[in-house]
Amino acid sequence: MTNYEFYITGIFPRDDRLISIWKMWEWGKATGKDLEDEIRREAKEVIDLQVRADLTYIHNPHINWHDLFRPFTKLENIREGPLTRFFENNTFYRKPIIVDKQSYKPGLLDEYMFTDLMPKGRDWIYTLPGLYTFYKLSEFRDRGTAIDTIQNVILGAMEDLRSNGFRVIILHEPSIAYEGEYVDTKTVKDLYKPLIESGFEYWLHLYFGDVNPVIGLLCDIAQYGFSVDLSYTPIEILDRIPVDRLSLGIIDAQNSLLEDVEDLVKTIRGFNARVKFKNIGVCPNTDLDYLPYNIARAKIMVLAHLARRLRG
Amino acid sequence: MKLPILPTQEIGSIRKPDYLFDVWKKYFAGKASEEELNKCIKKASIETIKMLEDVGLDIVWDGEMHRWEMYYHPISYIQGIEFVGQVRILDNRYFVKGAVKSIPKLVKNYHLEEYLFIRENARKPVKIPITGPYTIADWSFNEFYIKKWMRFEKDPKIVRYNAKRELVIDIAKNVINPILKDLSKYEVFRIQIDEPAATTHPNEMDIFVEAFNEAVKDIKATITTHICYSNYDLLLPYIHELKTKQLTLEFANRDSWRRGIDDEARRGYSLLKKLKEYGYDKELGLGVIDVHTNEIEPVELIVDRIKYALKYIEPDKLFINPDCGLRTRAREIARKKLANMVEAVKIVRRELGYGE
Repeated sequence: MTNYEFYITGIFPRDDRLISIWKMWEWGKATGKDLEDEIRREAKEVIDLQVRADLTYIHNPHINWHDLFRPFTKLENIREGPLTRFFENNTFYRKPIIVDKQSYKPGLLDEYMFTDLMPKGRDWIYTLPGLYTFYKLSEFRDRGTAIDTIQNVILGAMEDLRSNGFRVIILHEPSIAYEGEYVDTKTVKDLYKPLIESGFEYWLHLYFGDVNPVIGLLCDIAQYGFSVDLSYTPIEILDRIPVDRLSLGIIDAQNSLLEDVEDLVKTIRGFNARVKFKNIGVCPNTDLDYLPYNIARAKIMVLAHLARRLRG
Repeated sequence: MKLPILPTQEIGSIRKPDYLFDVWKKYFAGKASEEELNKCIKKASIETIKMLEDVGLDIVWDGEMHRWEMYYHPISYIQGIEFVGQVRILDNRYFVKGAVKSIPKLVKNYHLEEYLFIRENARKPVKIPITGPYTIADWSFNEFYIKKWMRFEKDPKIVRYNAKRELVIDIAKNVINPILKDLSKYEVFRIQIDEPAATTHPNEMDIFVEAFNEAVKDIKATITTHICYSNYDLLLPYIHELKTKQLTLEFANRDSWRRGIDDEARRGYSLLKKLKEYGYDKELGLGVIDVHTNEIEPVELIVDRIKYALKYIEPDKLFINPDCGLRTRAREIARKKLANMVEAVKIVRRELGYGE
């Protein structure tokens, strides 16, 4: 019997009210307290929505993340670099510049965790940058320093999150999927070695590319499972993956078109009939931040309907 | 109209004066009438044209005063694309994104009145920037064509490619080409097709070029193209195929502020060497002003950037401009940056023996 698990991942979009208060705060027309209150109001809404949708895991609402790396550029030796296009999107991030060795600073993620709002008795999950994507999208002079720093910072963050009650960490790894056959396999393995040995449960989240050329690599570094972006990867090629747990990024977070639930049921059941995984995760292919707030909410409701249908 | 050697131009947007920004916001909130908005647009348009003429640019326009922004404006006049909400570009900056619900069709030539107004109020030759078909498509959610292609094809990559291609070509044929044809009747001096998304998807360069050429098909006016903040190497194999008279590109953002005309000092301009290797012989709009910093480029630095470019581009093919629209800067900063650009061009013209 397959266990279906439903969840969202990554950065969640802000609603019009939060965008507006944030702008007012930038212009000096709202206080820090006004902004903080508004962030917490919306964080609660996003958590409640996931609970109402009866998702298997409740994701921390990353509504105050400006981009995948921004919290880490608050560390002394990781600076905010130039605005840089995020892959092929009309979205830009601040390139992290690793100037020297850096370790995680306890409490760094405090303002990015909403543990007091998260529901008790449910499994919590949290998204962090994948190590290879962090490496590839950063600027640094020395490879060894960059690798050490990224490992230390992410492992430290994972420890902090685990002690705060998050069960699973999702590591966003678009660079591995995007680069495909050109991925720097040695660097990926070097980066993930201490994580594999750490015993932390982490899932890799792959998007913006077809995972077909890197399936072997993924099986080596993601012993707890990984997700694939079905807007790039044909589902048929997943039949031969030798892992216990695989997630299907079947909700398209880069298109406002709402999926037909019955089509999704048919696809997932057809897939399951062929492969018989113990656990199949079902999630959006990437951050819902690529959508307007209301459409992101509607996509969660698609996930909710899908959950009801698949759970029977 | 004859232009001097090394003609100077602005790229696109200039920051709106506060009174215009406020009335746009009120208009969206239903608290200002169209008449009030138009009155402020005209005032700001005239002020901006005058500012650009006074600063000494050779080719002018009004810095987008008639438009809220370069994506919102066309979508407002295209049937088949509906606004669905705010989507983040960076930090807490958002744009209102549209979703393609049916085949895009032009409701009205949304540039004609704007162009006629600017032409009437400008003393210098006018260039009109128009958002191109590829960028309109790329910045929209492609619902209609994805749904259509999902019926015929299983491979998601093929679905996405075919859906994108069909959307871009339809916008080129149904929206942009009719606008260009219409404007051509009014002897527009130059039309700049803005395609900031053009070189962001390596696998879709052929779509961009095909759509661009479709958009400008049978157009008599002079067509130029502006592309920025992306990987220009992707463009190189297509530079001859693209039916444009000028590529207007961003360079200063990639460059150092060190003086000199050696390769290291002018590392932001390394593309010029590649263009020459590829036999590029069209006009080049050279970005010499970084639009993302308030620091004003010294005249001497701009002179160096122009002189470096002259190693690779013939003077009669070189146009001088900022990297992109200056709307991210305060108007006074924009004015000062443009003034230094004009001053630098005068120096180079004199050195080349063309007077000012």
